[in-house]
Amino acid sequence: MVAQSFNLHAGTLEKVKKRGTLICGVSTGIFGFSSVDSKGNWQGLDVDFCRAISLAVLGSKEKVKFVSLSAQQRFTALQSGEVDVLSRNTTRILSRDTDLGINFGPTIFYDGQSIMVKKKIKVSKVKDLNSATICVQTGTTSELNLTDYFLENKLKFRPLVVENNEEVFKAFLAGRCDAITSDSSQLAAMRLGAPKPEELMILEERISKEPLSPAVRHGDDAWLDIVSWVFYVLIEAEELGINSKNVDSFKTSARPRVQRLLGISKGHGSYLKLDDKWAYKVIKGVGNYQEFFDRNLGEKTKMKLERGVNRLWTDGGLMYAMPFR
Amino acid sequence: MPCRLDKHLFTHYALPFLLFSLFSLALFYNLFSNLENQGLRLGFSFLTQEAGFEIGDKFFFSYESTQSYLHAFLIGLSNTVMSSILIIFFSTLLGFILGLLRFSSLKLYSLFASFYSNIFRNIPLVIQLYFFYHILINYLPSARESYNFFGLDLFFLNNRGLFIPRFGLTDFSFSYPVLEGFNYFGGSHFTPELIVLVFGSSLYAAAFISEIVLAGLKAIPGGQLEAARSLGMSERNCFSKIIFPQSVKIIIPPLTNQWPSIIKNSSLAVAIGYPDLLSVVNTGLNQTGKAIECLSLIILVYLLLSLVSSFFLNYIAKKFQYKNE
Repeated sequence: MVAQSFNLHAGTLEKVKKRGTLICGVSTGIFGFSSVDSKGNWQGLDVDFCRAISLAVLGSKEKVKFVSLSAQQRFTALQSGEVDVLSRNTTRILSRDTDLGINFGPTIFYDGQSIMVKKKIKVSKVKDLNSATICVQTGTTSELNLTDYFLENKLKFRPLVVENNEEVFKAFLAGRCDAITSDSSQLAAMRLGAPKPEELMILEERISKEPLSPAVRHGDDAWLDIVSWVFYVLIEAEELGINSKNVDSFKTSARPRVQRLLGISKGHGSYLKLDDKWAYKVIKGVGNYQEFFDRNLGEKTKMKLERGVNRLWTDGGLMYAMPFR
Repeated sequence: MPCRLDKHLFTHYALPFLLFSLFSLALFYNLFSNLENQGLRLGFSFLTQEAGFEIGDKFFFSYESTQSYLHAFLIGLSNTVMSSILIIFFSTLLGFILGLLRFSSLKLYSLFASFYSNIFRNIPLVIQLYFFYHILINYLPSARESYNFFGLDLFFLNNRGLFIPRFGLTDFSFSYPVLEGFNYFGGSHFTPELIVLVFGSSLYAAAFISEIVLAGLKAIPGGQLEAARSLGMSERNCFSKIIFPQSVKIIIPPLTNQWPSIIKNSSLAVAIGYPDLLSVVNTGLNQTGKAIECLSLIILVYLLLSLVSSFFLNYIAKKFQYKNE
């Protein structure tokens, strides 16, 4: 039994290849990140990232099985091997990174916690919310950040903690709370579900840093490498101006950076125990980070989020790919 | 007699507890060896760490986010115990009234009571709680437009709850609710979650208790009533001196069985955001990721609460039991 257990968390890559599907832990429904559309297909930034991993490892974006996990279930599901990778709006923090036996990959979306209020209460700053009742979902870093922020600014508040995302929002709409707090991207998604979204306002201030990152089990370094480098493909491709539509026209490129990324020069796939075309398949199948963002969160979607700090480093953002050599 | 009690102590309390402990020990052994291989550590040392989250309801106890998880959990436990006591009190009272109504010879009363009992027993409690909760928070006014009872500026009702003055029994203090910004502060505060939990659970449990009361009343042979009447006792005396005292002895044992189930049902509080034991420990679980530790704590505490209450109640039931003479 001991020998078996040792193997439990090594060799995720082999397990996935043998199984022929990637099992990916996502949310129970956060628009723009992981939610099911009217046709029953999963969509969102986190979902696309799972598809990218599947393309790199299995060569197809359809070979993913999505498992919906609540905020509570997510870490246990990953630890116990129920999912191969957790791609579910998860904030990377010290205690999770160490104590939970998991490792985080690169941050795929830099978010920050905000507070949403009804316009009619005429609040423009968080400080105006002294003495307010604030709704928050259980099991999120939001709950702790909120307490920290109010303590730091010597403001008092009453929390209303509800487990279910929808119930929290209903309580807020009914006026049980003066404000509701979560990651600003989640608030934007929630607002879309309100009967009158124009009556709600997300305050400008960000009360915390929320680097949302995918996670894998501790102890399987090879698998973490794959998850990390799949993400760097998305950024590197955007840096080089390669996207899903024009990727084939780069096949004849003479630039060494492009040749290495697309596997025209041989041997770079073997570092990850993948074939040389792995990055090409990812770009061809799901595109670069720009496409990820535009498709799920950008101007053309209902979310209408700005790239902000999620721009490339060359544009003054935080997105930076490690060199492919 | 004491010898008999000792025997029961073993078979009814010690033996199940022992078997449960042995079974859990076996499970835990398996768990520990698996966790060790994952590089995860089990332990309760997190209990002394700073909790970092606020709790909305605290009854008369003090708690701040800078205090330990253990302290936070104890607040959760006290909320569970206090709300259970309130539910037990109200449901028993209401159950007796309804039981008597059903026993009444007036058709209108008995029909009403039987209608009530059939409605409330046959709708799942959690749905009733959601229903009452949404009615309450949607139809009560906001804090600034509170109902001010009798125009005294002492009793207020709004969608943040019921606010009443408080008299400190130990220090003879007096405080009353005052509107500060978004909320009332000072005095005693009963949140909508607590009100709905106590109200909804009491209505539900009362329906079951009314059945028990009715059965107890019906169990007294008709001959007794006829005998009492033939002795020339008034209808009122027949009931209060003959029927009721005898039926109480029949009612008490099954009634006491309801109480542990009320304690267990109070954990549905989590659905409407009342910070009971389950809700607070859940928050702790989410923040620390210590799923196994937190869940075993919850199980152990509910088990102990139920065992202690049923031990105490069996003692009462025995006092009322018919002697076999």
